[in-house]
Amino acid sequence: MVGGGFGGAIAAKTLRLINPKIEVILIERNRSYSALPGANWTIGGSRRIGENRLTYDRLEGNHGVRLIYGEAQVVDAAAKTVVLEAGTLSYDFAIVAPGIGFRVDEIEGYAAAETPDLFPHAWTSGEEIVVLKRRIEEMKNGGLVVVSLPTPPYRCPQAAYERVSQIAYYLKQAKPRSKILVLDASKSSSDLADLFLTGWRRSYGDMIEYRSSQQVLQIDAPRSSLRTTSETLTADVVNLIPPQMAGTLAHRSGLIGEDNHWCAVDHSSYESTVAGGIYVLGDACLGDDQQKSASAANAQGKACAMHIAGAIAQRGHQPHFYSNVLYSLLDDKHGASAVTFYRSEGRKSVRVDKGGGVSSEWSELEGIYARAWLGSILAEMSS
Amino acid sequence: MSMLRCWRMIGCITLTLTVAATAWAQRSDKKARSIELGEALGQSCMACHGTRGASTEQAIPIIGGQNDVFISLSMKAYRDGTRPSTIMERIAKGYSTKEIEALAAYFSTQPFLRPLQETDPEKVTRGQSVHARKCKKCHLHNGRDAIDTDSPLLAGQKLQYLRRNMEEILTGKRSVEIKMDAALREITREEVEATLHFYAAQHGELH
Repeated sequence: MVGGGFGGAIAAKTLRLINPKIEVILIERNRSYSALPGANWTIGGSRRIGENRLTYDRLEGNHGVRLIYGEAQVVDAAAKTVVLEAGTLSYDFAIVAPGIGFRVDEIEGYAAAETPDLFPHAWTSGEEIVVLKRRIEEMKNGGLVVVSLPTPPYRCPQAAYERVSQIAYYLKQAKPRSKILVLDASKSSSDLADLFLTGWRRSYGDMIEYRSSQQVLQIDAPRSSLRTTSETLTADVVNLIPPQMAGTLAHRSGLIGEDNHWCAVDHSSYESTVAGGIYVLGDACLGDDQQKSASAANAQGKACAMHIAGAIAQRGHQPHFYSNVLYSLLDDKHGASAVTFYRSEGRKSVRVDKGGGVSSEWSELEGIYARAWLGSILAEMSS
Repeated sequence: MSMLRCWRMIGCITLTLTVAATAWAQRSDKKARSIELGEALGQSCMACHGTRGASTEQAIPIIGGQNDVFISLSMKAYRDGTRPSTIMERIAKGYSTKEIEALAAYFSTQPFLRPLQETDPEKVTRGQSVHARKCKKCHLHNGRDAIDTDSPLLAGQKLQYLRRNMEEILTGKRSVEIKMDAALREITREEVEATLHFYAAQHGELH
């Protein structure tokens, strides 16, 4: 198992729960993992980023998952090996959860090394939120914050809307004359977007201006300016979330499908359709209408583990049917959720019409559940 | 009795036993398949309800080791909108009756884990006597068991979850059996709260 995020950690644990005879090695580059869900809440002040950090000790102690800390260079499907800096590891089954990378060449003027510091995306690790939070805190009252959301598919769109909510919640208290401009590359109109827009109007009035179909084409980060499909503007803080693709390991290991950006998998098993014997989880996969989220990665990790355990035991497995649950906070109290069901149909993952849906309103009770969901999923993947 | 009649009778009994054994085997096979389906479907539930249903969160109930009929009834009530909820109605609507029963079959066969919870010792003592007077006939063995599998196990359940449910029952948002309703009419709000502390205080291995 390469990658100990929301898909990888739970896949490793689930394999051991199903069959403790299976030897499971989890390769992870960080000894301390900093989750993204809930990181937004640190901007609004209702969570500390330290609460988002977890370690893998208990996966080792409680479940016998073997941990190797290091960066996997490549997974070689033909040789059935994972190449690490420290050596090469042979496997029978390889699961990888490579996360995301950014298609920075689609934004003129984006420098992969410097831009994330000037226009923080805070979209790969919870720790990155600290820089964004500091920039917002250092901004003058009456300043302009631009939040740019990329063209789909990208990691957890709901979290992007939540990001805007949390910035607004902070500004309303500390710098009430400030404004937020949301530049959404989507031609948005969904139940979820409507729920946020309604919440924003009610809680933050005209502080937030939302514009759909706004793609950032060019930036000049040192001058804090950016050009979109329709205008050029400058802002005090820019939270630029670039367009995305599967993470580096997926590219190096030859897991990318025909679209050139994402991993192509057979959704009945999560086995790569490009490199057989390698299974791919989480945001790096291109789903048929599949959302990219912690919850979806968690569900895929378990489904993949059940499939592999079934293959090892030479028995069949149940077709996948799972829910993707997304929780958000509008401020420090009010929460809402969205549920989507998926099932595997042949090699595809199909969105189920029955059940699911978005909260009808923001409520304190769902605010409590949002925190409980995060507490639970973090505990589940790490203990 | 003639020898022939005797043999016939033995044959009849053997046949009856064979039919019964086959029926039992089929039932247990069906049950095993249901548990297997429930294990696969139940993976999604565990992100919120914890590994094998052992919730780690105060707001979210433990479902591992809970009574199977109670789990089924709850899910069906969420699905029909007769039990108040936020997300559970939208979740329950995604499952067929057979799938709900499979989830219930799986989670009911898991251990009911009871980690230590923060409770008020005075309320626990008071709650114990309320339990003895009003609750113990149905919620057997201090809530570790129940008279029927359609009643929930309460011992070690999360206090915040129990409290919110009682609030829903007391404000008429959720209906309960006549016996439960009658018992609640005879005790004060403070006694209800104390009783919840008594149930929540039970932890560790219970026999």
